[in-house]
Amino acid sequence: MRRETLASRLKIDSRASELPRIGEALRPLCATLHLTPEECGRVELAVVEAVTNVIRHAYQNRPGHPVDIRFESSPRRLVVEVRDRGRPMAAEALPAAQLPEADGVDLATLSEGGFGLAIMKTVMDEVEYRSDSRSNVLRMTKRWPGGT
Amino acid sequence: MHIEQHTTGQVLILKLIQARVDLETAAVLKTRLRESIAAGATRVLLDLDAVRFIDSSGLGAIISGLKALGGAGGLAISGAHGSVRDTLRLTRMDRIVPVVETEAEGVAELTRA
Repeated sequence: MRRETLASRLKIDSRASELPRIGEALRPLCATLHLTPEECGRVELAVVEAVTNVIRHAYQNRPGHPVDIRFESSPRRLVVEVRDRGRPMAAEALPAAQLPEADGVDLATLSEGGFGLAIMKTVMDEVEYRSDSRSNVLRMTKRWPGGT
Repeated sequence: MHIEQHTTGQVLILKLIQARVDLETAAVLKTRLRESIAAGATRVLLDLDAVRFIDSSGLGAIISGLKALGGAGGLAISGAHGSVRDTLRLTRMDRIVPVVETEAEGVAELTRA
């Protein structure tokens, strides 16, 4: 069986008006992977959350900085890497992230934000983060049944 | 973001005329919700029929409105479909805020509240 790997790259500026470009870049990959609109929508959501975190936290809402998004797809598997050169994320942020408790919700303690990382962890099978002196990289992997 | 509004009975209906509710547009929704509640609205229905994409920024704006209500009255969502409905389910938002199909169902839900 031929195993075809497709790679593409999207470089955007650190501003919210760039976010729709993520969905536009993903659509051809979703078609290649034969993803349903729901599956494709979830991957778009995870990547938008990752880039939103970069804009808000790594670059502190300052436009004019690079966000480099790399997609690599093979049958039944998609890897997305989001790179930035801003402030690194705190080491405990990713393991600690969780969706709000929905049962017996207490309005007083319900947070208005901070779900982005939890959404990424819910949608994707693996979410990893690494940071060095040059850049921060968030790597997310999604697998579908039959994939490796 | 453009938001149309009208009132049915005691329910304020805010219809978002916007395909995306994300970091770029969520602040407008948050401000509108909080201003409406500060002006006396206690039952608010958000019509998301025109919305095609919502992320955690948009959900945060809705939670902000819920907190502004402070347990008085209620807030519900109608018209969510496709990816938006899926995101509400995925994030369990549909267990925090009632999600109904139509405006009439939303008005009935909030009138009971």
